[in-house]
Amino acid sequence: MSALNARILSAHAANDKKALADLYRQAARAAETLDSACFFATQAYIFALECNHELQIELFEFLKKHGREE
Amino acid sequence: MTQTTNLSSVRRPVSEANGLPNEHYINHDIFEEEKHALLFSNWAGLAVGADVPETGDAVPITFLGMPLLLIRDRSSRIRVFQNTCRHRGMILVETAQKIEGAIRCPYHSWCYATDGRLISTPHVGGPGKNTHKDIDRTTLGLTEIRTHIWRDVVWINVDGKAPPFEQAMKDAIQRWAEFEQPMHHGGADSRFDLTVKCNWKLAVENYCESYHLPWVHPGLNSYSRLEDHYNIESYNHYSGQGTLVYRQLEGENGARFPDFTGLSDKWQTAAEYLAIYPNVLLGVHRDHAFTILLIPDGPESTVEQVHLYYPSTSTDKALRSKNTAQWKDVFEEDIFVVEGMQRGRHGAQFDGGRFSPVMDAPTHCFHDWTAKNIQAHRAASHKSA
Repeated sequence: MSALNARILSAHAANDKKALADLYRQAARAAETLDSACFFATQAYIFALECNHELQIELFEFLKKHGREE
Repeated sequence: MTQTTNLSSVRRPVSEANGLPNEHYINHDIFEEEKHALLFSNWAGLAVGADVPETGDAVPITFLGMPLLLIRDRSSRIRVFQNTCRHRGMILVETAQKIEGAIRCPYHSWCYATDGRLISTPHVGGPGKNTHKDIDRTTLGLTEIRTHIWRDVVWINVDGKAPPFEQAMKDAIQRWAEFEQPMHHGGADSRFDLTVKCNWKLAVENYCESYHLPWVHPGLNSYSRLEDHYNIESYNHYSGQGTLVYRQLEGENGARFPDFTGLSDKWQTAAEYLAIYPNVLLGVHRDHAFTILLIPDGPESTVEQVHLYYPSTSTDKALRSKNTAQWKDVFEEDIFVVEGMQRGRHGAQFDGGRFSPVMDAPTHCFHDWTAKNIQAHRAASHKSA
């Protein structure tokens, strides 16, 4: 298990929405394909929306740019 | 076969009428019928604005089995939604909380704004694809329940067919027009719940008449005698009682609550108590007001949610607590009565009872409204069958 994956699981266990938005964004940046990046960016975007994290704007723009959000 | 009842004798003049038949207090089919005929088709009290004082505050409430979400949205407007995701029908919010950003369904994470708009549908078109041509977000917002705020009560009309609130409640609003001014919930020391083993209607009936006061509330006799009270009846709308000798509560140093502003002389010594049909009991005095929401929990159980309000945000805590305790004592004195009437309705030969033509008109007024609404509901159901 990668260190990032372990931190994501810990954040889920702690129900830490801000950390989840941050960590899934990191996963999106490390992804090797666009589809994989959009999957992780979606995860990050949803948690950012829920906790009103400032990352929501950047994540929305990324997803919209790739036709994944409206 | 669904239970039905004969209501013809209920709608006679008070001097000839019988009260509602037993089944209206103990029967599950009739309770279900009344849920639609009385509580969903009219403006019912659900909560108070003070339950969601800040933007984003959200409280899940089960009202007559229906999962609802009370929320103060980003623009500070109080809204009520069905607490049900438009995707798979999952309950959205399980506990009272502050919504910081979006309401996220815990199942597949569809997200809603606090004003109900569906704002994201993650992976709906496949992994990482959050849109689909067949998923039109503009048609999939949260189902909103028709809502109106008056006297801090969150009134809801579940079936959406009642007349506009201002029209439906016109008489009551006019009657208390002088009290259309800011009032402030006293906070944690000014709210309490009473769970009573009775049908919700018995709490209405007991509240709206003064006939019982000298027997059930003997402490009031010293200054507020039966002859100081008057009946209030507005057929089809509300009923209640008034007193001509309201006396202000005083603290140890003689301190009193401030008055509401600009009241006419009448209110120096008067107070009034209205049962606004179906399930809201209100009281006004020169220096405070209260609200009781009757939340039915089956045919034979009701939760009474009591809230006290003041003209100012800076009232004395000790005096507020004393006032809360005083009213709690009064309302607790009524419990044996409403619970006794409930048990009495298991007497199979009880015919609904006869009214005092002089003293019981407010109760008859409520029964007449109840019977009229049920008859209309039955006629509409028969027509559509």
